[in-house]
Amino acid sequence: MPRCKLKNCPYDKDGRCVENQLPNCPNLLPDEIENPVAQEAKPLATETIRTSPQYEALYSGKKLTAVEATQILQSRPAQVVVLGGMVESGKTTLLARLFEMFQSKHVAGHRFAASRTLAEFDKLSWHATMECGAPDPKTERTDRSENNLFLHLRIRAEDGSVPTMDLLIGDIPGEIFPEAVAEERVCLDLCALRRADHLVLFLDGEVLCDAANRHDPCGKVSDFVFRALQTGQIGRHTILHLVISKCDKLPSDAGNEVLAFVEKTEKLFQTQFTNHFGSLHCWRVAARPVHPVEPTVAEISKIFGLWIGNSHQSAGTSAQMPQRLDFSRDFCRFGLSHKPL
Amino acid sequence: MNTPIELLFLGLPETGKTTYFVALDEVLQRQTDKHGLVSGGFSANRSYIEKAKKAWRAGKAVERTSLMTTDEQVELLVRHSKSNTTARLTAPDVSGEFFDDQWADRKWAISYRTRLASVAGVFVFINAAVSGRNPEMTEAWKNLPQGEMPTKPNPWTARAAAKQVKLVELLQFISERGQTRQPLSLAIMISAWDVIESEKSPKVRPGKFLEDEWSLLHQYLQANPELFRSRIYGVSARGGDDAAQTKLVQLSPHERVWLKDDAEVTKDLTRPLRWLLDWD
Repeated sequence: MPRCKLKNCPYDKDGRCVENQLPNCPNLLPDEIENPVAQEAKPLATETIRTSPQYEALYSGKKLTAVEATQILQSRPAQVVVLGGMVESGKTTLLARLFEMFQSKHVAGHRFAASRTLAEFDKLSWHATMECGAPDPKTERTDRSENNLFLHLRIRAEDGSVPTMDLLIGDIPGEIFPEAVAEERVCLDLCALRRADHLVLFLDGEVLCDAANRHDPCGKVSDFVFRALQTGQIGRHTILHLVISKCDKLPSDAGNEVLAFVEKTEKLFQTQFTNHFGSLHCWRVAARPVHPVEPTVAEISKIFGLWIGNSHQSAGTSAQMPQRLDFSRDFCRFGLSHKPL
Repeated sequence: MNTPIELLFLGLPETGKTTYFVALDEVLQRQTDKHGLVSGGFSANRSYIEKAKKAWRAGKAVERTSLMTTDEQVELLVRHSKSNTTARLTAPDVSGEFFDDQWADRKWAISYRTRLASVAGVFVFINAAVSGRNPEMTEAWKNLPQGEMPTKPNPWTARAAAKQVKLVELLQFISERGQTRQPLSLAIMISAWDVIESEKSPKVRPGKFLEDEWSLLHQYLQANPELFRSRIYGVSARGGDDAAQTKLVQLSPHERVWLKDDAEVTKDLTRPLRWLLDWD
């Protein structure tokens, strides 16, 4: 992780920039020398390599900064996917399941071809493994300091007919999501939104079963879309997804009031937003359901298939986008290309 | 003959690198396959091989390689009967910890990177008895009696990561920073293959095993033909585990070993070497 050289800046603690210059704040110090993946005290076997004391750093395996992600976007065909939702709405669990699926088999007709963030992917699933020793499978929440950072995945079609494609996946921390609804400044700081081919918003299925407490998260998701449409960060160049997560928690009997609410929510979402986006999709997934329910891997494969298959980024600037955002497309959609990388 | 051909033995700890090396040396001396490579003589310094051979010949597990300097070469002189070509193969017998450190500490010795540029091929070792994935929590685990459950979850550490994830990363380091030839030849050696099937009734193809059990690694190799060409072997370089030792010692050491190449079973452990060197 980069660190801030200013003593009064809270960046190291919560990812906020005191000068509001993220992601290109000149006060950030790069992490090249740091060794962020190594967690153990085990020393490097320097004593064993007596004749070659010189080492060189390799890439960290941690999430990519916006600058690093931009370098990939400038060099290869790539899709940007941004996940958003309230705390514990299932964003990270979906990503963990996706990587677990790749660890077992190819996904949506595509093979794993590379990743710059393998250590991060492995970490996502850790709390759901037996090695972890936890009493229940869990997924660690995305820390707010991880805002505007990206997981990286390169895939290739099984038949090898097309070149490899890169995916950059941003996960808006659950704490920041409502703040972005409340404050335009926070929303504008979500640099990945501008370049997102896919915006995937999550509603926790378990929360939807709670009649009193389900309305606020539903409202927050809709309001987030309104906010980001208003700032011009998303629009016809974006494909919007609504994911009802933890769908194993939804009642299974047809006609149930909860199911009726879920259907109504999905319909309302479509009615409100279909015309504003390249396309809109609703999903119900259970990435880590309670036994004996199996994870909805087929559904997750379909979502992933859309991520790698569809983009409206080349469709030109949306007529609905404000003039101030009408800068050149693609690589600069993180808002970085006007500055030297 | 005099230009050494450099090979790399890559694998995490306890994946059978040294055992294969020792068994390969033995097979070269006592080759029974007419197509197989044979020894071209003894190199000047064989003390490391001879030391490890004692336990192996007794049917015991070979001691894990202590952390050695990357400059310490082990050398084999091999001859290809068909073309009457002789080559001097050198390979640093590096411990698995050396590679685990690369993954965890995110750095490598510059001397290692420099050496990669001259590597002709790589033996990549995985252990058939060890899972490539960290298994997902099951109901059986969750239903363990309270006393048997750990009180606190272990935090994630790089060293605890899934083995196939680590191995893919090591190959990514090589492809991105190693300045190796491309595509680089990889012989994927699945050691302790006798755990998977018996020599007498072979059923499993090593390629299928890799695809099913180490899928991320398999996909990575399949998706990057520009970077790597690979062939997958099952190898039993000891012939069996500790329980089989009494039986093993009834046979001469070179008769205990066997290799699975696709559907074929052979005693010729030099086959992956021939493939790496294009001497088929």
